[in-house]
Amino acid sequence: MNRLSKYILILLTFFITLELFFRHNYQEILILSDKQLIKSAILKKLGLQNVAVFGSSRSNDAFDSRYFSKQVVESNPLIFKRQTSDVKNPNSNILAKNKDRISFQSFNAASIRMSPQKYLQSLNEAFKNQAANLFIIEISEGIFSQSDSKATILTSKQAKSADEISINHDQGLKIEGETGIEGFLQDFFYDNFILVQQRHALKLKTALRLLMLKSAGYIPSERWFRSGIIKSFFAKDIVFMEEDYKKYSPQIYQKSSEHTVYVQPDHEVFKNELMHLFKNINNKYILINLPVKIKVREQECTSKNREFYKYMVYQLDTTVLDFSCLDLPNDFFKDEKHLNYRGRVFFSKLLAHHLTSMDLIKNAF
Amino acid sequence: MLFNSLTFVFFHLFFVGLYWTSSSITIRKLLLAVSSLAFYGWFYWPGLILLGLTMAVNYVLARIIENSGSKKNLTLAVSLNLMSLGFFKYSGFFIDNLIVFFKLFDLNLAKPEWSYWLPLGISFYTFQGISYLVDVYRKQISAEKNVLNFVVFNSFYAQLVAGPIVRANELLPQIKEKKVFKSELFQLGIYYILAGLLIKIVIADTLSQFVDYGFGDPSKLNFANSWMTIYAFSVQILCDFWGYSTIALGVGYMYGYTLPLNFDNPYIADSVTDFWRRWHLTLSTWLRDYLYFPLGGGRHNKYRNLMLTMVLAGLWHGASWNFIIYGFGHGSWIVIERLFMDYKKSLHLPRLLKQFLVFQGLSLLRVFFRSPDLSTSIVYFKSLLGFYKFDQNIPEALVLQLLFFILFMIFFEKSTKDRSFLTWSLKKQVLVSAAFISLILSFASNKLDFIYFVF
Repeated sequence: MNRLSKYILILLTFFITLELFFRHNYQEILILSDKQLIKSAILKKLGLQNVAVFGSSRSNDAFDSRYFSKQVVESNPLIFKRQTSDVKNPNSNILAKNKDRISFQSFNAASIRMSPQKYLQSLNEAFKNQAANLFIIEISEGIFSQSDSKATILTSKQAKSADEISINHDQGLKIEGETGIEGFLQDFFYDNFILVQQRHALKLKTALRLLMLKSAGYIPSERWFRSGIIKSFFAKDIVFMEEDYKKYSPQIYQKSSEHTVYVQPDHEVFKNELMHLFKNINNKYILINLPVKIKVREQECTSKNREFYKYMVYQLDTTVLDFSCLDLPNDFFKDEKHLNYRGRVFFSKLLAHHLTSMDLIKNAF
Repeated sequence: MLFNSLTFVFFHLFFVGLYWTSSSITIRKLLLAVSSLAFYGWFYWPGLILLGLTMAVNYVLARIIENSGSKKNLTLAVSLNLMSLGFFKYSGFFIDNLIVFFKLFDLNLAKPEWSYWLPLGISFYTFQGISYLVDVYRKQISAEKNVLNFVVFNSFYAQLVAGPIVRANELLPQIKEKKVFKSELFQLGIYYILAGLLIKIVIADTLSQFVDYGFGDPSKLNFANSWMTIYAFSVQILCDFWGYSTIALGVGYMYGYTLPLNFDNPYIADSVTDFWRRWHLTLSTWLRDYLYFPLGGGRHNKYRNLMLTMVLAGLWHGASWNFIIYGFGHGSWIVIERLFMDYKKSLHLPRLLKQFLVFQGLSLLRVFFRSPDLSTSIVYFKSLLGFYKFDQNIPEALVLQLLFFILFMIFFEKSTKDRSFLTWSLKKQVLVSAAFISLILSFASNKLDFIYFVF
């Protein structure tokens, strides 16, 4: 066989193998263009977590499971042990007494560019699958402002086709409008080859997501969803003092017998959809709003929202922690609404500190 | 049929397969002629009539010119070619300007009702025809007697609609010789086609999204983004045309033909003169041999000749004042460079700085090239001066795409220098080709025409 034949034959074999790989991993490839669906898939793959956070890009940037878990373990050393290198360290003093303690695992399932439908769908599925002992759910205005007039919880069949439509539409996989021979050829290849249909998965960015999905559980996959991935692997922990946590206490709304009046909130439809979902579940969850810079604070830290939180805790057996009125230093933010690395470390520890001090985590077990 | 379509892939594979399975040289030429005419007629079949007429006129007149040696016959033949080009490409522009001119004297002329039809690749095949006629007159080649050879020379689908503009002495001898299948050349052809598709689909078409946005309404761009957009356009137009030319070379190789190179890293040029020695080589050498030299070249009225050649080069790209200004800009710059050279003055700048400045200047002139009209160009220049202030970030994807272009250019240059692709191990060849196909496949969501098709 001459070199040309070998060259063509190997190329053909390569692409046939790739097509078979795509067919075998069809479900995973289908969700690759949607970060929210990938996170949900990773969460499912990881199994039961102690805490899972759901929310928008703000939660994605605000919550780091490493620091959150570390703070929880440090606050409850007799209950929890961490599944990190210090556990494996034979010289560690903690190890000797670690036997009976529970490994603590948390996961940030929040995502950027989420649609309200997918948000509800992901939450619904996570609740159904009992994905975590405690769910922390963001209810900032950022979540609701992305909802239009209506958001509905899709049945899984509807959801699947909606994802497909959304993914195909986003990627423009099919070149519309072609007729004649060109149209026939495009249809033929599109309809018969998954490799052509889901070719966006061949892009480096998407291929990395597939790798991440496959390796979930071995590498800390949630970090891949933030900017500055490489930097984050070398970033050092930042130590904060007890006084810092005390200084920044959230507004806490807890179940009380006090009657509240329904105040028509902004984005009412979506908020009611969310409340409807919470009413029909047995999972433990708390609701949070996140810190923002002063400009946005005027929209988040409002009396209308406060009234609505009171209404929520009255209607639902839950707790709301509102961090939106906190005056955090400007150097904790990367923009008006999102925390930077320093802010993320602080907030993750701050949240862990308050949840622990309120026994919310312990009570979730 | 576009080079970046599935139809073309199958069309090309079908004909190239038939070509190599037939042993008769006449059948092979017949296949080339039929496939080329089918390729051209696929776009818009009436175009074949004009192409056929042009070929017939040039075939007959070249033989008459050869026999008579008469300059009058040459003038007649060249005029007929230019008239056809002028009518189809420039009559609309001419009439529009005539209407504006008469309006100055309060004379309102009505615009003719007919719709303008611009036959694809008319500038390319007209120039190819003119060079053939002139070469016959100059006795550099003899007029082709075999009709089949002549049809293949004029219509070979690898270069018919967007060049390269191939001279008769480069292509006719290749048409006449009996080709032996060379697997290395065939494999090189595949590599060139893949690389050309990558350049077009992955780089040019992706950048076009940013460019279309920017030039759609330049007042939406802040200072940084307006500059990034002209850089993006400079890269887009190169990749669009370079991609096409690379595919053309690949198609040629698969048939056993070697077509001339059209680009030689134009953006590393350290002067505009140098740029035109690297950019669209077959057009710039055509302009030199069939326009600049006959005008007198460097012997007399050098600066006028340079300016005229460049203005006509601008006009060749399209019928609008923007293209005339584009050509005038290039002409002025070349004249200034020549003046410096003639008076032995030189700006002693590092080469890298010169290259940077040349690229900046070329990118600025391209504002005229890309803007649909003069008023858009003016708005664009305002945005380049920072007139419009917005809090905009430079899109990451744009920066990555420009970086990818630089890396790819270096890689491709290395892989094609002395056909070094053929010296690679089979593993490396397959890996690179598979990576190219994957990239092409993953980016193939928009099908945009090649910019140079309309020239």
